[in-house]
Amino acid sequence: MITVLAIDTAAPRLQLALLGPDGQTDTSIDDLAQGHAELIFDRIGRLLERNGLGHTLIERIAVTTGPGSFTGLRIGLSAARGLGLARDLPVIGVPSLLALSFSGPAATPFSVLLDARRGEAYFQPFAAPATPLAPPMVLAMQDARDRAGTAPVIESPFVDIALLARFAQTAAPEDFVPEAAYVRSADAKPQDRARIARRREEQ
Amino acid sequence: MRILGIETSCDETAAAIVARDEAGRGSIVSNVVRSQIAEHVAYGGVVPELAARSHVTHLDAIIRRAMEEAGLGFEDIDAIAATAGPGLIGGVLVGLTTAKALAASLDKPLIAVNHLEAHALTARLTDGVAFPYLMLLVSGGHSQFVLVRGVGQYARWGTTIDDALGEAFDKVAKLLDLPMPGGPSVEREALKGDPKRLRFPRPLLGEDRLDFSFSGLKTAVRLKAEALAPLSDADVADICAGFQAAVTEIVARRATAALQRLGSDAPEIPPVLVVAGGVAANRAIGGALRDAADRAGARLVIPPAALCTDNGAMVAWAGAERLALGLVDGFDAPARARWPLDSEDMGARNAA
Repeated sequence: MITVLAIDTAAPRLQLALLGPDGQTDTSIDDLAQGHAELIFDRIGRLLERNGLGHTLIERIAVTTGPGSFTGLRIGLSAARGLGLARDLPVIGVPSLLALSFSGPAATPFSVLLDARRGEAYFQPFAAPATPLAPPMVLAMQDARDRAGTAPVIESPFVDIALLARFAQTAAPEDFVPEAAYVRSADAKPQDRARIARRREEQ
Repeated sequence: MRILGIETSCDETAAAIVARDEAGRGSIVSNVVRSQIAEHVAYGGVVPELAARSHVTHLDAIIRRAMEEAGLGFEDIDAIAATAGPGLIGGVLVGLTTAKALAASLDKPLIAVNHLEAHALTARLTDGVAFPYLMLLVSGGHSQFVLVRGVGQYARWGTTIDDALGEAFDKVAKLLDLPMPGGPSVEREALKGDPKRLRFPRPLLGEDRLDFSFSGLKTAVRLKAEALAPLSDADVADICAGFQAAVTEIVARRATAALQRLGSDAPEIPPVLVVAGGVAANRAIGGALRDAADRAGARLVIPPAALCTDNGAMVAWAGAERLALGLVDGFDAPARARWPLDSEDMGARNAA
């Protein structure tokens, strides 16, 4: 059994889980809209300490990759990748909607639908937990509701962090790269404002 | 001691290892900078969200490269330093959080470095300059005179009341459709132009103060360019030459006044003017500052261009200087968009 530290800062919570060598999971959860970056290493330290473990014993890092708060995602990813870099550990990046599906019903198809603001939703249908039927997408809220239909819908943005740690324990690192999945673009517009006219010159 | 320094406050993803010996002499062991300029060029300037995204993607590989080029493992590093501000907050968070992760996992001290302090102390790494000295910081984000009394001890004598000087260069370049980064482009054009054909205003220069203002100058350049349009190549070169002549005169006259103040405030110390920031690479401005320093009997120190623009070595060095004084930070150190060198907080950090 390998020891996994799981991190989720994509939603207004700082969530950590430590899956220890004994197969037991301990979690640390703070409701927190901001300030994840100031608190996360204190919380990781406490979680390790109360389980009698240290950083040297962590063998794998798991982190959610989004969609979610852009800033939150970057804090989680920077923390996870930094911890991976320090001790040359695999970092398992798990897309947030996939991670949310871990809490879904086992016997029936369902959807994950998150409020993406601006009247839109992040949406992904699943056949079963960890078994997506389509990639994550951004849809108009009503379209997402229509696609979800009458099947069960997960709408909480809070991943079950213990399940994330368990999933990451056996996930193949090459299939779960720790790159942010913002889903939504950066909203930057290329500059095409007219500059001052130049004379075409013969060379 | 050896320090890893991380810089992500604007559009450079950078990491470096710097060594400091017992006598306080520094040397750069490795220095890796990845510019994002190609990612932002289509937008006509740095897009903060894109910059932050790019830092996340590239920072760990840049750190790994800095370690490889140094031929060191993390066990050979004594502390981790990162820019904690001022700068684009999304990027600062990436570098600072990565540094915290390294420090926590490796059980090494963390130093949350003020980016301006890193610029301010670079001349001690490159030239071993002793305190106190006068610094002129001229970059894309800052234009200020700072009296550097010691590590963490700064008095700001003047600053820009609107645009930074590097920003003015960038805006002129953009207006004239010259490639980014604007500073070198404008300088290149200015070399071909006649600096006397078009005279631009020198805002604020009539006032007896050490502050800068470049916004009105930029507007004057725009109005002149619009009046001349469509612009010939010679027009573009002359506009650049006239603009550069104006800012060169402004900077040189302010530097002269600042050196006068240094001489009257502290007549007992040999005057030193240190120039930092990307604009320090401009040869016309550098030459005018050299003349100003010579006339004032002051020593002028301009670190190599690669250490004037944003880099990890300056952050590592600032970290080394702070660590040598026992100044370290906790894992709750915040990332800050704004963090003036003369803020109360820098003082409190001094006293720590």
